[in-house]
Amino acid sequence: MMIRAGFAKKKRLRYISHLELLDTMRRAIRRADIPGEYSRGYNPTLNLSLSQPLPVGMPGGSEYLDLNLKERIDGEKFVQDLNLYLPAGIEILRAKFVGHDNLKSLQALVDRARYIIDPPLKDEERGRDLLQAFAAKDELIITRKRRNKEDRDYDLRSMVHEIKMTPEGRWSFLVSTGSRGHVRPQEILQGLRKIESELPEVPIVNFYREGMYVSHMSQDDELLTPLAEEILEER
Amino acid sequence: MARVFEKIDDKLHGVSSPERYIGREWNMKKKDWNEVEHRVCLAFPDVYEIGMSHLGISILYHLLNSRDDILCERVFSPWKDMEQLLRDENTGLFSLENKRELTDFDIIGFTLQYELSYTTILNMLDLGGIPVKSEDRSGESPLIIGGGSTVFNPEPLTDFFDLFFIGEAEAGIISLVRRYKELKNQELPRAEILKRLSGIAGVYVPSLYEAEYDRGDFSGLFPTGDGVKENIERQFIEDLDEAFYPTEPIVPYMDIVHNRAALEISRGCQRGCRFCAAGISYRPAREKSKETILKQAGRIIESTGYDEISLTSLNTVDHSQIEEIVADLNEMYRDEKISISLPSLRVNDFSVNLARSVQRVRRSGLTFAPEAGTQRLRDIINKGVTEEDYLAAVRAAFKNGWHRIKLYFMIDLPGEREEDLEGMVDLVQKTAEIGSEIRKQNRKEMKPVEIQVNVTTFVPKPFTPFQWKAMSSRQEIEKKIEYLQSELRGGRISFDWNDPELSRLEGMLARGDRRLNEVIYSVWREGGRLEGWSEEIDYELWQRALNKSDLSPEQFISERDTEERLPWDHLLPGVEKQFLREEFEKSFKGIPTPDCRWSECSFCGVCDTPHSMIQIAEQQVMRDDD
Repeated sequence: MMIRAGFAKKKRLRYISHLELLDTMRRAIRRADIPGEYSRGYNPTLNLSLSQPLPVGMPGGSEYLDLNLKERIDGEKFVQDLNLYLPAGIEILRAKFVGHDNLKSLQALVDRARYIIDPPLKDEERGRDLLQAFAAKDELIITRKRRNKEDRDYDLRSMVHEIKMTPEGRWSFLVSTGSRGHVRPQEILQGLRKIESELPEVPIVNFYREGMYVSHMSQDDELLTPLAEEILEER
Repeated sequence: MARVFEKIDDKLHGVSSPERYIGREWNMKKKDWNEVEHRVCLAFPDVYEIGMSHLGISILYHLLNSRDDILCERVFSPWKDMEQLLRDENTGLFSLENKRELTDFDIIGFTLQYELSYTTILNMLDLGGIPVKSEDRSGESPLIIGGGSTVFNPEPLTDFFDLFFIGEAEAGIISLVRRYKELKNQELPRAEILKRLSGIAGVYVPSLYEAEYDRGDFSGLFPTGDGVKENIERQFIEDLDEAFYPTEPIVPYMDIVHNRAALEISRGCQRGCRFCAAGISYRPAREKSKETILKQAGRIIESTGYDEISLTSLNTVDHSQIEEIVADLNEMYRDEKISISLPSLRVNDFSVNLARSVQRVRRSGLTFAPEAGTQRLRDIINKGVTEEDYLAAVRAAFKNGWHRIKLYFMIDLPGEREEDLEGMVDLVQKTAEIGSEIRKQNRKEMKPVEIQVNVTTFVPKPFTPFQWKAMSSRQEIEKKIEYLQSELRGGRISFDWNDPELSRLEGMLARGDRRLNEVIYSVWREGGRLEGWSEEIDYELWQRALNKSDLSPEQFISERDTEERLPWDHLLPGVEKQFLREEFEKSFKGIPTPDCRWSECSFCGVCDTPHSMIQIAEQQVMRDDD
């Protein structure tokens, strides 16, 4: 049995790395006396996993965690208890108890991420035109730099699934994420620069990961989150 | 003022490890700035992950914050990239809690824990917008105070500090903080405030003393006015059970050097190794009771969520109840996946058995410090370990499944000869052979034997029996290292050493006098900082600064006469100088001095009534009763 929860990593803790977040969660779970299950072996640690890492500097509004349990705990109680022991800046938003162990891992499940970008252009209309031009493309080949490996070209356009301007005039991109195709946030800008080459840099702190979703199990247009009933059902 | 963090917040993604600068950790104490009378910032002259591993900071931080009228915040040295950002943005160095610039505080308290961090202190003051030299500070500048393990020779830093606190600061920091504000509220001139503070026990105001030199050598330090005390007595807390101890320590996000709960179980060590400064300045050895330890352990684990607790002390195994403490902790936390770690193990098989009882799960490496390669030299330094003890410990370690043994040795110890280095090589080889032999016997149980040999150059420190000894030249030390390098080879043995030039610099600062102030100042002005990081140190800067002041390291690190006046003679560490002289004499003869807790009094001078005298008195009483 386990708990799956959605949480926010807010601006004030955006500089905490993924591993540090994992340790912070583990310690908070221990402080809150939540009955988590430990790994076996030489170095027992709480069986806790998180969805895809956020880049250091970027806040996230809807991240996810899975925790294996040795005793049942209700979702609501989990939210309440853990929030008391988490530092301000990390907040559990909702959680569901799952009575079985037959869930796909978060990293295998989550395949969409929505990034909200503070536009580097002052002129909102120019931005709107740029987003439209991006949407109108059939293909946008960009180059991925890889550590210790050769650069590789790929079609960014095919991995961008929705482009919008938010009511506040910020740019919203729904992109592929995870092992079946992954867009790095800065690559969105690289793509936009193929259209408008003078587009200024956007530092990572001007990105926000608003949500993470599961598309391959969604029936209609509506995207499911990892907490959707359909996904938590035992298969 | 309070907007300082907003100015750089969005730019922190450009610096390495930005989490060093954000604070906001669990158990951090952030008080309302305007609700308290006294505002103190503890400053540590190294980066966050080093400073946050320092127990003294944690104790003082939580002690000060435990008082309603005081707030205490933290600041660490920025790494170079962050320094650049602060300077580019014209932003002052700020505290982690309320993000206030250093100039907003009443008092900045620096930890003196390592000689090569001194230039970093100057840099932090400068980044904080505070005049680096005490004489340039006005009434509005915060009071700059220093304390810590190297405060026992503060002379190279006297230009930069308004005052030092000699000894364990828990014993006096609260009254010092309150007294300062009281005097400041009377609008007294800064010099008068300092003079009045100098009356507090343990407080040393360097500007009230003047040094004299005779033909290029230090010849004495004298009070400059009436009513200035001649000597400063170090302060200490008598009872660890009664003393404040933080049971809600800050839990950093960053993977710091000692990333676990630290519980101090005793303070001080009376084994009397003649090279060890802490073994003198933290006398008498004091133990926390088992009851207090268990209570505090429970509270720390509950409040932090750590899964590892380290029982810290200069010498953990010497705690008289250590076996029961470990057994009880094991019992208490059997089901909670909490591991117990014991740093600083002594070399004997009791230690190994103890280590076995705590490291039931993680059996990777075990560390021993024989320090010297032969019995003769171990007797000179009073390291009470025999080769038999050592080999028995090693055998026990291998038999119990450890395959990696780390060995600490020192070179350039007083009285060292070639045969001692040969003895070191011999001891290492014997260790490897024992390991391989045991491995052969139970091949499947054990990974290949690894012996990691770590050699440091001995640095004579003030208030030790070796405070009069010379350090060798760089060439001589390098020759010794080369010899060890050529002998300590083979697949099972790895050899690591530290830069002898770094040790010589450390030695110079450790035994320096006031003339080194301008050398440190000049090195800092030329860019010296974070010099504890070997890749950051530039010896050229030191050479140039010394030349400019017409000084050389040899003036400070060569042999001194035991009757000569020493720059730190005005401080009284508790232990008497006569004891140090006797220990110095005994070292040549290889005469050991046993720990007085299990033997007769060595008359070091630290107790009003020596321990063994008490025993004798008790026996007397018992006899009288008969």
